[in-house]
Amino acid sequence: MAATENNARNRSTNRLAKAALWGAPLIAAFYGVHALTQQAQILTVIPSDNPNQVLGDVEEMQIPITDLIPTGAKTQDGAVEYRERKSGKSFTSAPRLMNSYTAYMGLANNMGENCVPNSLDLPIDLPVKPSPQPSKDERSPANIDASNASTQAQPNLSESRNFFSATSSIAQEAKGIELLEAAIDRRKSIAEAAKYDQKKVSTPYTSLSIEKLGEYFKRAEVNIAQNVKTLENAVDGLEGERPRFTNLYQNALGKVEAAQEILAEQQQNQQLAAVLPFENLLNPSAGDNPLARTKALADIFSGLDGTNTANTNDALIDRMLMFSGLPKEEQGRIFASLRLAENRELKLKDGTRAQLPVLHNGYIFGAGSSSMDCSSFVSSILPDEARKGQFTTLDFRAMYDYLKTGRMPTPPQWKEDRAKLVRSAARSFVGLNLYAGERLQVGDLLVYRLPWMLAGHVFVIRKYDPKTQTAVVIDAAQSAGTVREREFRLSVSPAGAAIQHLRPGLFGLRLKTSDTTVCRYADASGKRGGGGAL
Amino acid sequence: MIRTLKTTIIALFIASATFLIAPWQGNGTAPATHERLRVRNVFSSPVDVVRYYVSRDASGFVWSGLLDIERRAFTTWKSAPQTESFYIAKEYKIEQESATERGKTLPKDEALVRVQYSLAGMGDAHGTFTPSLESRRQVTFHLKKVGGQWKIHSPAPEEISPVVLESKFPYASTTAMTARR
Repeated sequence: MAATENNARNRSTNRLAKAALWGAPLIAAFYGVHALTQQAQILTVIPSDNPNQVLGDVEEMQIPITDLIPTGAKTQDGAVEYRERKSGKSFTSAPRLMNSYTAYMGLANNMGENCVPNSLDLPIDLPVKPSPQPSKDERSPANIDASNASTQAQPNLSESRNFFSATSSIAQEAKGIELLEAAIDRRKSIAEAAKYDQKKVSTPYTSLSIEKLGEYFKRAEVNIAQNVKTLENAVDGLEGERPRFTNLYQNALGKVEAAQEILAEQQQNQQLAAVLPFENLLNPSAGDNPLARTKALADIFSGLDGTNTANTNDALIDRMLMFSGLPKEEQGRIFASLRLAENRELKLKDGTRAQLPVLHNGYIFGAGSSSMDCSSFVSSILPDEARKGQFTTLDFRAMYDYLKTGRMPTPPQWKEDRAKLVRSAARSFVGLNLYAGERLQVGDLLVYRLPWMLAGHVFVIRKYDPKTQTAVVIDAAQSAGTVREREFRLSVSPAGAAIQHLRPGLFGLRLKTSDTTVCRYADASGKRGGGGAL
Repeated sequence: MIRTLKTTIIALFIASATFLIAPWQGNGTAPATHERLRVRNVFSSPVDVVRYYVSRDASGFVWSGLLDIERRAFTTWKSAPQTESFYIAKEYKIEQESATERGKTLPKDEALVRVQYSLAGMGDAHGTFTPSLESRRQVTFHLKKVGGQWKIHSPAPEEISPVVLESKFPYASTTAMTARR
């Protein structure tokens, strides 16, 4: 009996020892991180005596959480009250912007086609409706509970929840920064790969005589015409990209026809013989651009000019043209070494299948566009779980509406597979209603699109100042063939105005905190990438 | 002399009749032919420049990426338009505005050309179709003569939207789109 008691005591002691062994470091880690979090946490608050807390008419202050003591009281709209340790002044948590969305929608509806962000001129005095409560999304940093500021030694359930909220907000920020870095890295790597491909494809042309160049052009014309025919007869394959590639090949055909005419003209005028010995004098850039044998040819093939980047629309067409002009054996050898090229199978109207060599600018099936418009650029930088296709701003709008209402908006009329893809991709995001005071963070997508208008734009947020409603954004600049960083005002009011009216048609999309380089994220069911608790 | 005069009168009559009967382009009965790429601007009238641009646009060449050489030859734009979606038109009509139509006289080296579209809706490469709020759309091109060539000056590239013709751009066939409903 005594032995049994001893065994039981020993087992109990062992359990305690094990618990201590595992628990102590965990508790220490918990409080260590907690303390660090507290130090790092800055809370955006507004003075309690502010007479008007709606429509952005607030004086926000950034105060370390450790300098604030929660009073335990809450305002009518749910904001938490604090007292500053030093001054004793009262503050409340994040301001509530009045939801003027409906009012703006009414205005925007009457604005017509020219309603683009930079040409808006909205009146200041808009009718407004009472403010809705902000999203209860736990991972929104704006909703971190006030007891985050507590410095009590003993943990409680509320504090633990808030600790996890704070930690997940840090993970969220990490995700945003990763997206931002991806935007820059992806673009850079695409530009480098395009440059590499251009060099590979153009090298065989550098040593060609003019006569031989004419032969290559003729071969290119035949091959490109065949590719156009294949694409026009295709009924399946290259989904969503077939129209664009058909046009790219048609443009390549137009270019090679024009180039042949120029060569023929020169031969007719018997100028060619005179030009040949001095070609480099006539066109010093011929070294960079092997097709720029004359001024007229240099104009046509400006995409290959060394001053242009290799991942522009024109450069891609020139690459396609040069590749199509190569002898068959050389095509096979070079194709295998290209970084931005794929063989795609197309199903034709007659039921047969055809292979199409697709040279691209790093975008097919979900990454960027040959002309690199803003939304395809953003599609290209999304992580794998969200990058399931090339999305338009209308798709992003539908994702937002789907997240907020649970239904796909109609109109538009959706192809069933497209609607399924959009619904599926939407689950990777959290929708941000900026008109209800939900705030943007680094790495969020800021989208402008009104469903009944054609114009749309999407940016990646680099910085955001809620007080002036000014963001530093990154987007694709087609003309420069690169990403650009610029300032974008979400508001139509002057930067210093007390009331900041947001432009219509804006919304935010925040990638859910799935796996990042610093942590793995799982929902309550343990499914990765679903959001929820760490 | 009389024979030449007769021929001229008949030719003029046919030309006028053609203009009066069919001022709208792209009614869908003709086979789809694309405007051929031009690398030189040899047009002598502003209407011809706009006709070329609109016709290329109708086949989706502005939507898929206006070529640099076209941009330089036919516009004063510093960049090409970039839009992911496009309007879908059934047909369009091009008219030159008179120099004083808008209450002020334009300089000799400037012109206004109006394009009126009959719209079916909006679409994109993925086949998503949005019916149009309005059945008509009008774009007024402002052209300037630069170095002896008429070039489109406005709308600016960021303000203009591609308009494809459903007869020329099969991916924008509204018949196929509405059939999915």
